[in-house]
Amino acid sequence: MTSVARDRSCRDSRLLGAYLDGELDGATLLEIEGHLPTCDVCQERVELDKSMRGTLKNIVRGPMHVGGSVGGAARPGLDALRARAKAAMLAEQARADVRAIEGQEQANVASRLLGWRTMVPIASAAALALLWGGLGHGPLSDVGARPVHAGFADDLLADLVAEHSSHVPPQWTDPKDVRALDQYVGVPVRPASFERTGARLIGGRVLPVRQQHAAMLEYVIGSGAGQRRLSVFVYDPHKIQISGAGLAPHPVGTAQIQVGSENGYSVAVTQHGGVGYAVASDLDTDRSAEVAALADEPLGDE
Amino acid sequence: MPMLRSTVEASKENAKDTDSFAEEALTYMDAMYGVACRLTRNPTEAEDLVQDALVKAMRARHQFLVGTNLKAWLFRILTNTFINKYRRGGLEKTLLEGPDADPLADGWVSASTMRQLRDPEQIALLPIVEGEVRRALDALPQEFKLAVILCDVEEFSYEEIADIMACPIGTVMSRLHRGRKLLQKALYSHALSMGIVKGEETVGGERTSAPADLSAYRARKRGAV
Repeated sequence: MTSVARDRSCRDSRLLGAYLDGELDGATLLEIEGHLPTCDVCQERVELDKSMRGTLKNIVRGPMHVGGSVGGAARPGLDALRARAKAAMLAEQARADVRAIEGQEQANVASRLLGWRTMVPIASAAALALLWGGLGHGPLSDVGARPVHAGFADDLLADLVAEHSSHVPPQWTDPKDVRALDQYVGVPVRPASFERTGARLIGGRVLPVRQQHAAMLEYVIGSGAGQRRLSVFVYDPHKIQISGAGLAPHPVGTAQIQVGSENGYSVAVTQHGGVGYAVASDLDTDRSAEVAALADEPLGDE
Repeated sequence: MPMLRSTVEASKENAKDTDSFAEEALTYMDAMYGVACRLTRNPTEAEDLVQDALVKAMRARHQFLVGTNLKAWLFRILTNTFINKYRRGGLEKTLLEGPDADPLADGWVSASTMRQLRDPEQIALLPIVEGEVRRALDALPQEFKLAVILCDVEEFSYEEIADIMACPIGTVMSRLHRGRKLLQKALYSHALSMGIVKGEETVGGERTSAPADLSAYRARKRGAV
């Protein structure tokens, strides 16, 4: 076998790769180590291979160049990505906690009458409190203490109004992060659309809705004592259905909108481009309908 | 609601654990991003890919066995996410296993040429060399590229790579070997066209004045399928 050892090593340079990778078994390792000092070509293969690894490390770990152009834009610091990824990971955990609480709660109350409408806001508020506390803001003090508004024929709508009235702080305040909520709801989220009424985006969060997720975008409009709050729920209408029972048609331009009001809050529901929108606000139904109609208008800057 | 309260308490205890898992996973984020950039060739998509993978890891973290290799586990999720998201059809199966119709000859250049390719005197040419290797790396079939990066850059073992790429170790070795050869060929071809090295007789005896490049290799492979 020794007579073919040299021949085999020279012909099969994958053994040299495995040698550099530290993956050879003892016998083969000895064979290669015996061969190398006698063979210029194999020595050079090893050296070239080492040099290539150094180059590859520089390429993969160094600044990002797209398309192979040398001297292209340097990779920006990864701190922003780190912060974004961490927030997304913690939010994922918060959602898991919500699911856990929902599951336990459903098991506990089994046949009792505590509905989704009280449960989920409390559960999501609790999860948010954890997330908030984890971020160093301290836990929320009034979890579970707020009133729930009912009265709409559609329970889900009443739930959304309850969310609107809850004043739970948003998870994300950067519009870029709010747009990224589309990954949870499965439809595009365009917070800027609704700023055209003069409303200012405060932030957004993911809302668990009957085993699905909606994005909740929170805005304020006006200032001082005249300031009003506005929430836009963005959802996939195939997964989350609002029956529209008890709502009245209220077309704005070409947009088909249904409106209703209860306890001083108004709601406006519409669909556009396969996306469902529900607006809940402190404003009157006309204004809520106007906001909902904006979903129907193209936006140039996004 | 005492039960709800106890769940919240339990979750709070869990939160510290959650945070430490996130922190530990994030220590591998830079490496994941580097690999994601080469896979997607787009920094924005790479960021999305890394974030998606980390969120999936968080969701599945109870499946991770503490004490085993977190980095390899994260790279497996990254790889799967990439395949699922960007390459619905999976990796380039047509370029995969099976006997190579026209195996890249091992003895393709002499010792002196190889020495020139890594010669310290050529250090001034380093950016050009890097640019060329980067182009060649980007052009590699995905499964060759991934094997080479996981081994040569991230220094995973063959066993770990086999686990990450869900293939036998023999396949890992084959992908590594062929990927590295293609990179070296591209570098040599470039050096030849730049006049850094001269065309020469190979050890095997064939003229390499027109060395096989990657596109010719792929064209041959496609033609052979």
